[in-house]
Amino acid sequence: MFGYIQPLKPELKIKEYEAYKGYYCGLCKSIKENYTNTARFMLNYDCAVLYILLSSMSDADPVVASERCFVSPFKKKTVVRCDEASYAAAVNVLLVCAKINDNVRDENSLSAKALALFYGRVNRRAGNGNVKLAEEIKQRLENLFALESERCDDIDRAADEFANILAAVFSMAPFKFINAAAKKTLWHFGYNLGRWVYIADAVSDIEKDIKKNNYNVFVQRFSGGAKKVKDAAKEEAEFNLKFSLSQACKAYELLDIKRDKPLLDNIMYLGLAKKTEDVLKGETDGSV
Amino acid sequence: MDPYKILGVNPSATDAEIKTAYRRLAKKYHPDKYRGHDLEDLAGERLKAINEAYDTIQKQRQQGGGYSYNSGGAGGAYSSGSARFAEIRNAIARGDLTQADAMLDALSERTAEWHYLKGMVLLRKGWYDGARQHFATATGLDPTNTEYANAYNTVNRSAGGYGQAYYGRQANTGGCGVCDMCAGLMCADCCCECMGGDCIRCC
Repeated sequence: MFGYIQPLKPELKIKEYEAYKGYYCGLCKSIKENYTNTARFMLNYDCAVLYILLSSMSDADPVVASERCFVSPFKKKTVVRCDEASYAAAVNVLLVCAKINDNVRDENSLSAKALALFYGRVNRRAGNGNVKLAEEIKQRLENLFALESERCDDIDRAADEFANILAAVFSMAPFKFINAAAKKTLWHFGYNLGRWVYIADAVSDIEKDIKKNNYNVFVQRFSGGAKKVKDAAKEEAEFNLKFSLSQACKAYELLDIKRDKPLLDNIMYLGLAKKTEDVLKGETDGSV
Repeated sequence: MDPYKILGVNPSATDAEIKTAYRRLAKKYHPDKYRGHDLEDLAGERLKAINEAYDTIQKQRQQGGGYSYNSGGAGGAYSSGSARFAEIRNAIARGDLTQADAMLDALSERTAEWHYLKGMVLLRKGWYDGARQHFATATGLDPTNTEYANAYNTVNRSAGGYGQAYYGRQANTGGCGVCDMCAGLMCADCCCECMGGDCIRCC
């Protein structure tokens, strides 16, 4: 589920790439400061994008620092520190822990259980700060689990639950600059982006899920081996991926972006398009 | 707010530049693009702000005759159908999707119009896969109806429209291919040799 939302790096200007890395480092530092050092291993690109988007809507100027860290102990790196980092950090922890708990349920392996236990406390702390969001995520995952158990073959119903999670993540961000109109727009943005992520992940995982006998909406929908399912699913997947993104872009264009627009434009129009192409070509082998 | 900021241009921009920026934005937030969409009202507000900004600038520059965008009539005539369908259309227009969906499910006869309206409800809900299927069924049942055909074509076109920037980029970029790099190295080597050095020994 993670790592799908990224910019297309070759098309970024150096300064945009620097800013992107700065936000990424800022999120990582915020996870360390709000949670624990070990929680930094949960850091993912998608939450960096959440951080960039929210902070670009704020009126406050970003604080840019130059700091060392354990990955780069000698050379100082650009770190963007904004208020929105702590929310993105909480979302990062909540989503990764939700994924770990999901793995426990799917695979019931000892390593997954150990990881869930290890991160149990940070998960609770992130949830305490964002009670409503944590409840929504929990409820939606319960619903998704029920759909998986009944082997749902309806793309819309399956994607709806995950789409609602991202809709909540974007629209429940507790910042003053998010007024009612922005909240509604962010909800649509998150919903369509989440829908895209869910479908992209399902397409990428077809082969793996057949092998492991895991639930996959496309495998339920089309029968046969991995190759047959992939070929059969291609047209429908392409429509759903691209239409969801076209709707996410419509919402994005209504957002009041004050900074880093070229970077965000790159993500929305190039990065996601490239990922869509890769997913449809079968060049992603399913992420963590 | 500063009208120049709304149009995303410099106050020093020429009239032509302002007009181009205005047209680009008016197209971006055109009512047709957002018709029936949940964010229709917000896009409308944005377009209104853009129109006002453009008018203000025009007036400020004392050239008169503000260019006003014609949004065209919204709504459109209903295709015939039972009173029930008209009610459902009203519910959809109000944004009351739950009621519209319940009314649709209560009907036993699944005509072309039923499939079209079901598709509209699903589309607003974000359930695009089902929406497209229902539009396809509606068009199949009544191929002469332009309303159904339009809905079906619009969803397909929107999906096909995404990623133009990405694919256009690939066609346009000459870029730094392997051939270019080799050619570049050869040139560099020639220059080097002129100056008495040599970075590629064999040539």
